[in-house]
Amino acid sequence: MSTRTQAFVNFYAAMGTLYAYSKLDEKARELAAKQDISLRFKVKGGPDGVLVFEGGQIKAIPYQKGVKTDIVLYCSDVNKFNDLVDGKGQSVIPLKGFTKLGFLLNKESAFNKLTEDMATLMRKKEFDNKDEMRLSTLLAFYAMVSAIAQIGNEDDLGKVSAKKIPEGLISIEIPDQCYLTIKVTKEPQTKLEVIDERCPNPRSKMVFDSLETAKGVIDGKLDAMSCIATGKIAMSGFIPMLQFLNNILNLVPKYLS
Amino acid sequence: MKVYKYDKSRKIMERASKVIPCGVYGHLGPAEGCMIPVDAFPTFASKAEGAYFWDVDGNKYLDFMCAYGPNVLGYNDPDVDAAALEQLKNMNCVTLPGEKMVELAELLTDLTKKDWAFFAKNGGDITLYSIMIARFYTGKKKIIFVNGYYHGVAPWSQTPDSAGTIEDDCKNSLYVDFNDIEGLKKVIEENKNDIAAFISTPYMHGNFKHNEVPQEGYWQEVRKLCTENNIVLIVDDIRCGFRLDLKGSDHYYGFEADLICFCKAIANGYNISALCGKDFLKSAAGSIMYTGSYWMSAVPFAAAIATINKLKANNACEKFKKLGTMLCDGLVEMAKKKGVNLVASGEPALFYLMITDDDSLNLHQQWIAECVKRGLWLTNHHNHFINLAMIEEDIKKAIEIAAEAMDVMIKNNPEVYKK
Repeated sequence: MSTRTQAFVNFYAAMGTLYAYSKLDEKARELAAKQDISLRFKVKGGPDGVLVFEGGQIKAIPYQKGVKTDIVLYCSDVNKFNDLVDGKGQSVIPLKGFTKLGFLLNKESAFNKLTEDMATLMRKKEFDNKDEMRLSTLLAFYAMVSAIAQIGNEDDLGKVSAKKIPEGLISIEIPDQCYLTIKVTKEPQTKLEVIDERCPNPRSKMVFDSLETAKGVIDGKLDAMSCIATGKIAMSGFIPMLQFLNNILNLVPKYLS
Repeated sequence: MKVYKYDKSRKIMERASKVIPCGVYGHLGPAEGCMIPVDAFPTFASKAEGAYFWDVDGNKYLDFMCAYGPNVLGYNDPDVDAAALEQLKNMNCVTLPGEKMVELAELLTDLTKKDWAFFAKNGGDITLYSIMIARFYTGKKKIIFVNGYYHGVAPWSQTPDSAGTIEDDCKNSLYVDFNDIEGLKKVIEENKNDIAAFISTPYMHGNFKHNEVPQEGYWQEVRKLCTENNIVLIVDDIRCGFRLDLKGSDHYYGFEADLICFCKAIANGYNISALCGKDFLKSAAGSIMYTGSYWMSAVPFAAAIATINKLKANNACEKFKKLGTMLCDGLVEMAKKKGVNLVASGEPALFYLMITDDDSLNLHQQWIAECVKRGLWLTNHHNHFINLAMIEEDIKKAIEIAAEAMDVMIKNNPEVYKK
């Protein structure tokens, strides 16, 4: 397990799941809509990404020249960023947006409320109703698939598996609930990217039969191979893509707990 | 044709999944066995005879997987079973081995022109042992694998990203492509004096790609490089052994391995594997403590002797090639007439099939599923096997079922197969 990979997972899969939260939950969307703001996390030796709040939607994107940023936070190493995400410290240096730092520092800010609510929901084991269970599962599902991409791109072992995944689109589905696509490209090097859309013609497909199965796999109560054997997960298409993706999936609990 | 249903299989699978990891784990299971979609395949068998087996729902299958290889004479071969039963009446697993072990070693060494034989139970037992011998004999540590290889499931034979394997298990692994002599020379040069063994199947019968036979002179050049560099040449003949050539697949391709691993076709389903080797490695083999509780059980030795003698008496390999060629030619021709590109590759006795009209293999998976539902047992992404119980009528029947299954697949994919 590498702290660098952890930082990428923390930004794109943990913070990145705010995207799904703001998309799936009306209250989250209302909260996110309170302020349009862009936070850049510039982590030395780790991710350089921007968390964008715009019109009630949130997205985590890589920083590129020209991307608008209201606040820029610099972390001198990946551990400091990981501590920040874990709530263990705030050893970050603001480089821009001093007047807007309340968005981060104020406990009642939309950012803190959203991250706290989302984390609570994702950690929940017992639910008040079906909708809450559905939301929790879909958030965890999004985080899991996002983490697969980051681990395949950054972790040493993950990269071994990712390198063996042939080029193409992999669809990961919970029918009528969620459709995510992992795009595998090979040039200039192997890269996995999560796309939030249904792929009509994927090269391979992994279909969970229910939210319960997805939750079981995410919680580690079910393993993917047993689910495939019993038909709870259906795989089809170019199977090596899924075999090696499954190897990366095995690494996810190390980074997302 | 009747389309099968699998109600009893499903019920047993429900029970199995509660008490057995994956319900059915490994290559016979739906996940590793690539049974796609799972509901097109049964999961439990109830009986077998000759070239056929029946599932627990009573559906009958013409079986070209042959238990993934061990069924080389036909299921429940009367001669082999009689020999096994006769031995069982006297002894099986006892404090001392029986004479049958020596008899089998004499038969195998004579047949394969090797100097000694060592027995275990599964292929992985002896591929590991062959590596241990090579390392002990040469005092070197690295192993050259051929990309797309399969030599069992132990960590040394996996890649570090496999579940249950750690990076240290694979740190002495080197990789080359099959038929790539220049690549092999480069790897040897880069790891001079550090390579204990080169291990490979006699031809590349990996999954998800057309199987690849050796180019002219390939094995002879490999042999030369191994000899020049004090590298033990190990042939993993577990899948091909006694299906291409009763003298071993090294003989078939005109070279001599230092160590050769046999398993699947030795005893027609009785559990035994064997490592045969050259004299210069016998002392190294003897120096290594390597044993198992059932490795000297007498019944599989008796079954193996009967199996090998029957294979010899029936000119088996020639028949495997003839029937395999007839089936592959028939299937490819049938598909061609329907506008489907079906490729049969590898050796006919262990043919590999793939429809190449899409890059996802979805069409192939649909076709195989329809074959199985009609009683023709093919598998999606693994080579197949011919056995001695099969006759020409079986081949004709297989092509007939495959044709109907292909019609269904074509009908379900009008966007690909426009009239």
